[in-house]
Amino acid sequence: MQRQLKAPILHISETRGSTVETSNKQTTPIGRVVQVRLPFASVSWHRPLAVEVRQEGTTYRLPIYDATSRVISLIVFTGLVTVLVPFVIRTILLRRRRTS
Amino acid sequence: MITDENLQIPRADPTEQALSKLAITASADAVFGEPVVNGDTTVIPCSEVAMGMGMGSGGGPMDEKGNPTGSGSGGGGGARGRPVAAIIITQEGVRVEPIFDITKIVLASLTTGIFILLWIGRLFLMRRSSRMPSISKIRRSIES
Repeated sequence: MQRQLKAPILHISETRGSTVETSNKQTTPIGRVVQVRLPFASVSWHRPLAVEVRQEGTTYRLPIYDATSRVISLIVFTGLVTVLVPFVIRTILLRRRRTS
Repeated sequence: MITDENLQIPRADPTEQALSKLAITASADAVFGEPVVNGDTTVIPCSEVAMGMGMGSGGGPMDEKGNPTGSGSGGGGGARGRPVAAIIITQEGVRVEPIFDITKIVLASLTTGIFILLWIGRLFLMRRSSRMPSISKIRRSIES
């Protein structure tokens, strides 16, 4: 009986863009792919991860941050804290009043 | 003799088509644009790409003669992409400049602000209602 190879459900890999060569350095952008493959659906998410710079024998990586997502996360987190802190304080005060 | 009617074009499997679309998304060209050179400066635009698709099919029960009463199938998908940053290569060095999506940030701020205002307003209303006597209490006091 022939055995079928099963593709993994979650697949994470790195991609490398074309290297840009300038006078003294080579720059290669690197991305990350996250793929979820199900029999009835599939999702793929590809985002830039870092830039690899090779200069005079040394190699270093500069991370690429998603500034918009970070700012939105910060706003949502601040909103949740602003809402939850007064609610928690009020609940504690009410419990104390009831017990006393 | 081969005619257009006899010629059978092989139809691609929808699952294979979907997977090939995913492979396009997974290629580096989908995220990193063509480098733009302006003098000594080279700019590589970077964007985020996400894609999802799903499909399904089903059939109805068999009738008395054993024939299927009906069947159907469907599928859907969506994709989005947005700029994330720009890699700037100059003689001095390489730097990554983030790209801010002001529309998204403003919308998130407005939504969060409205949510905070509604929640705080609800808290104040609850406090006021706890201080004020209820209608049943007022009725009881009138009756007594």
